Amino acid sequence: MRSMLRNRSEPGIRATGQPELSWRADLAWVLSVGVLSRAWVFGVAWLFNEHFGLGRSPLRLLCSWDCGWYQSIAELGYDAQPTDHPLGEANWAFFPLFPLLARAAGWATGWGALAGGLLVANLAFMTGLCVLHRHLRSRLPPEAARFVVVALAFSPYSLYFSAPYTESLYLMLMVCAMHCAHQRSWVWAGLFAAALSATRNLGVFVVLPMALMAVQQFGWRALLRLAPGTERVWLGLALVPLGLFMFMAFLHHHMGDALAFKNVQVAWGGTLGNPLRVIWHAFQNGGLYEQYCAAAACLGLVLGVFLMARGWQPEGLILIIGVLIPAAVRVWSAPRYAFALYPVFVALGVLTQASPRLRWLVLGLLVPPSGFLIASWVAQKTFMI
Amino acid sequence: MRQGVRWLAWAGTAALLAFYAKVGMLAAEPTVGHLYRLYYIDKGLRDWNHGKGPVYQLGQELDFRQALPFLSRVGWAYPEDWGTWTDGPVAELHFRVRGMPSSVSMEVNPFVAPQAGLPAQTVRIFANGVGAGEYSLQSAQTLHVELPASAMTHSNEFLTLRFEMPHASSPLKMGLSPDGRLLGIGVRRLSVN
Repeated sequence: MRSMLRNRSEPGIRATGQPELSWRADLAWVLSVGVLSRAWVFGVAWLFNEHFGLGRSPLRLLCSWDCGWYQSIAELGYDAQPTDHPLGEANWAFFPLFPLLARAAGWATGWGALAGGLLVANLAFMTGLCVLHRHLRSRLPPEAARFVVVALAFSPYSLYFSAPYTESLYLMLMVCAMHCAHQRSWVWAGLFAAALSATRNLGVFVVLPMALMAVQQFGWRALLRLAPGTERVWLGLALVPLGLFMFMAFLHHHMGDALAFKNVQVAWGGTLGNPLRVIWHAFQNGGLYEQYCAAAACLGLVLGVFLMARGWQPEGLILIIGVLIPAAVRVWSAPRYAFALYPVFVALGVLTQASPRLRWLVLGLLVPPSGFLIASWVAQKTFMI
Repeated sequence: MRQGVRWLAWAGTAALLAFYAKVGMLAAEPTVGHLYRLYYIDKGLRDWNHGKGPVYQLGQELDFRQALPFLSRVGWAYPEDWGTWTDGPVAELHFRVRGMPSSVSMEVNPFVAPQAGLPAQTVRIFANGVGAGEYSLQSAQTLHVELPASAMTHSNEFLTLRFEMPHASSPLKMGLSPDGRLLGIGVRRLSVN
């Protein structure tokens, strides 16, 4: 793991002593940002809970909406048949890695699956922040790399990184996979991506930015000729869907339908459509919140195109995929899906590279909405699903 | 040594692809019940009804002025104060029945517009995939459709009535009104006996 995190473009980094010190200082700084941002999230949630007498226990402070589904999987496993809901909802829609880790952490600590989920989510977030900073250090000026970390940690939707949801694990595995691919550690990249594809249904699509990176590194001719040196790339790319296919194999043997994770969406009214049409329809016919979601999706697309134009093609692709595929089902969760992706903050970092004042302005704009969203999450507002 | 690692990588890639192909084949052949297939895979049913599905008592008269759980997800318009239009060239009804249904009685009103070149509406009816009749409807009437005995042989308590209306058309397209639905027949009442 350590070797995976070492930047290959900086040979001798440990020999001089000074960069090693800098690395430790950076690590301490990133962890401080992570801890402070979590204190903000839990602090606001606790204050809101106390002030409005919502009666949530500390353990359930951030356990809203799908948290119950993840808890059910971690404690009882996957349903053998649909639950007693009239519409036939079942927990097959939720991918297994996060609840598995929550169960393991709950068992190891003796605190139970819910506390295990909180532990996994917050540890994954801290790790994700550290790897992200490491990943960006060689590609952005130091101040811009630090800004990206702060902006992500205090972003409006960063509360999901502390809730027992998949967002933080997804972030960590995505950053690890992209960092390893960037460092040409393709087998490691494939293993992280395989874990990603077992975390969320969107995870398997990381194969596209990884393939793009492979083409950038080797050229498509060398890849198609299976030239020496490309075998690790192909193995890395072939590993990506492993998590998804293992989940499918499990579902087939457990309840008979390998595609149950997709088919069960019908119980929530989800059907696949043209994402651009869904976004346009939300603008034309939706209420205020749908229009906000559509605007968020458009902003995500614009930032994705901006990243691609500025030489961050894989990150741009992550963002575009992360907006379009969820929007193909419904526009409601677009802000959560888009604004929890690290390329959004990379784009902000690139945009504000030349202007420290602009960075402060962006941070000033990000933090207040985060307080509002944390309060809305604790109050179980439906737009936070 | 280097060559060995290369071959190991290719062998790993091939093994992964073989595993994916195997799981893909499993995914193409789900081992699930009829109700599960109908609701989750074919997405034909509107109502899971706690896993009981569209339970129907033979002889029960269905009033199509109400939202009914027997209608397929696609192929039907919203109910109106007289009944429900089919919307599209195909519409289905699903029933979970006890006993052996033998006939269907239905009050229908075809969408016809002789002035616009649509003097009659053709309706083909299938029971569990077996043809049960073809009708050319020019006016509102009650249809009595005999169900073929072979339709229920392997149906496992489920009866699916499929209506195919190749001439379903929209009033908008025919210049009659702004209604863009693809209307075929309007159903007022139906019972399976």
